[in-house]
Amino acid sequence: MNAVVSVQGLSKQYGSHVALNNLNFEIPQGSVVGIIGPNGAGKTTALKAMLGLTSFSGSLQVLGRDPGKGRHRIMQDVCYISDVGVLPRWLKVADALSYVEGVHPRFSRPRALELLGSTKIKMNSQIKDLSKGMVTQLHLALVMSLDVSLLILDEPTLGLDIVYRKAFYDRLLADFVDETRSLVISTHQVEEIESLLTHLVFLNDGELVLASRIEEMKQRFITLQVAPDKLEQARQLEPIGEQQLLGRWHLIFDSVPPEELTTLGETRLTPIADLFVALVQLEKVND
Amino acid sequence: MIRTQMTTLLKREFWEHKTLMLYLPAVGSALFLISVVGLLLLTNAASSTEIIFEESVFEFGLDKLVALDNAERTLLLGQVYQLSSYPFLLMSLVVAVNYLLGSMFNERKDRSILFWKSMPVSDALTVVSKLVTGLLVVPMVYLIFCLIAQLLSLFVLTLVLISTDYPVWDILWQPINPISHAFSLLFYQLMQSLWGAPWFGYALLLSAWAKSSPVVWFVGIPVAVVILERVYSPYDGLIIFDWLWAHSLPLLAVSGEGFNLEWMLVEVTGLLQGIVAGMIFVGSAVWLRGKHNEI
Repeated sequence: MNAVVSVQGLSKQYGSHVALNNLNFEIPQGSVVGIIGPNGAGKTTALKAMLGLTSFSGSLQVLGRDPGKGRHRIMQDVCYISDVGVLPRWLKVADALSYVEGVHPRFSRPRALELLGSTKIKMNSQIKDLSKGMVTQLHLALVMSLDVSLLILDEPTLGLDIVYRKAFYDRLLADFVDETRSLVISTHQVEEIESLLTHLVFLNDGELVLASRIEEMKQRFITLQVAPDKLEQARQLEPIGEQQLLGRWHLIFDSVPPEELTTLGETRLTPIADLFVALVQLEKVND
Repeated sequence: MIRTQMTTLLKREFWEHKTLMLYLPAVGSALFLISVVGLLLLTNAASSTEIIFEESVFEFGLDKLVALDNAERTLLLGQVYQLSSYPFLLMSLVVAVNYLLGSMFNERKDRSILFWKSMPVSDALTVVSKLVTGLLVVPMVYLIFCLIAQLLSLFVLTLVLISTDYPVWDILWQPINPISHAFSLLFYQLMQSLWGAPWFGYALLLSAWAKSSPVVWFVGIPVAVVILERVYSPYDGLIIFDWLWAHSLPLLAVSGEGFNLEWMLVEVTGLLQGIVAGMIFVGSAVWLRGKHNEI
């Protein structure tokens, strides 16, 4: 599979602050990638670099182009939603459609009207009169009416209530994702996108913690629910993380054969959030 | 594609600034018309009215106008008609500078720049659309509203005069000559945009650069430069100050000759200097638009 985005040695510094430190990863075509990390991990900076919205050092290719040379060319094939509320408040919904139609060669008005038809958004409303959730619906409708091959979402559901968040991701999954189009989502609330993802990129303090396919991750990291009497035996296998939940121990193992673990307790998939915490703590210990 | 994009970008500027580009000049025209009608109601158009100003007595009235010879009448009415366009020309200028100062500052402040930049529009085209709006669209809009207000006033005056025996064409329309007036106003507006190029370009640059209140920088930097020149200048006189002042706005005040812009043909060097300075500022604004995002 071709890489839609290829990142090699990507670094970015603001003064003495290192925002990104030598990142390397690839985003294959048709994938849904979650860029996961706490606030300040460098997620937005990495996405902005891909979009040509900030300078960087290292090598970066987006759909075979260098985003450092001409943001507007990249934007024909890539679209971007940053966190909610960047649509200008004075713009009318109908004018927003006319604007995108006028500047983007790959916009389909019928599609936008169809998408908006399923919402309560009125064409003659001004954006400042819409609720936060409706603004996001509008932005998503505009973006999904563009025939682009890469969609980048930076914390797209920040500050939205749960109903809108769920509807947002349902819509994306139903209408955007296919084998030719790729999706990159950054978030610090990983639970809500966990079921969508095919790939993971963990960032912490500007460092790449893990870049992996979800399938690989599931095979490599296994959580063992272990009874207290077998805890010490399980610890011999060097878990990378431990957690005590309701009196039971949950141990996360890296690349330990499942056969060895099943004798000690019940194995299950590792939730992405737990894995992230374990890997970050492991790095701290190793430092 | 670029042409469609440009048209869309210009529409976008209009949508954002409907107040400045439609409602404000419309209110200006309405006020203009109301003042003319009010004056006609307060004074008796058919006989003279005396106005005493600092012990001088000025008499106005149609009988006086009729008594003048043709050349005098043409001169007087032409001047009055020109003078009545000044409020529109000044408004146009203030609005243009104000618009340019906010054109790239507001989008950074409300973060909508992240939406605009997510579209395949180059920074150069964006900046040019703002330049065209400030230097062409705004002056033309105010010109049109000015001409409409003046023409409507002429019609009102014509209606008043028709009830008298005075020859309306000879004492009103012919000396004023609204068509030649419209062309001289058009020429003035275009020349104002060219002559003021350094200031307009500077406003655009600040709008792309300033992290707070561009208008403060717009006034502050030139004042600081002039003060520095005054204190430290090794030469006699104030070269920077003179140049800035000469290119300052409005053109009406610079020339001191109203619409007579023939002097500009002599000042070609000054004009070209200003255009080059303006282009450097605009080029820098394009570069900054690419570099800067939300504040």
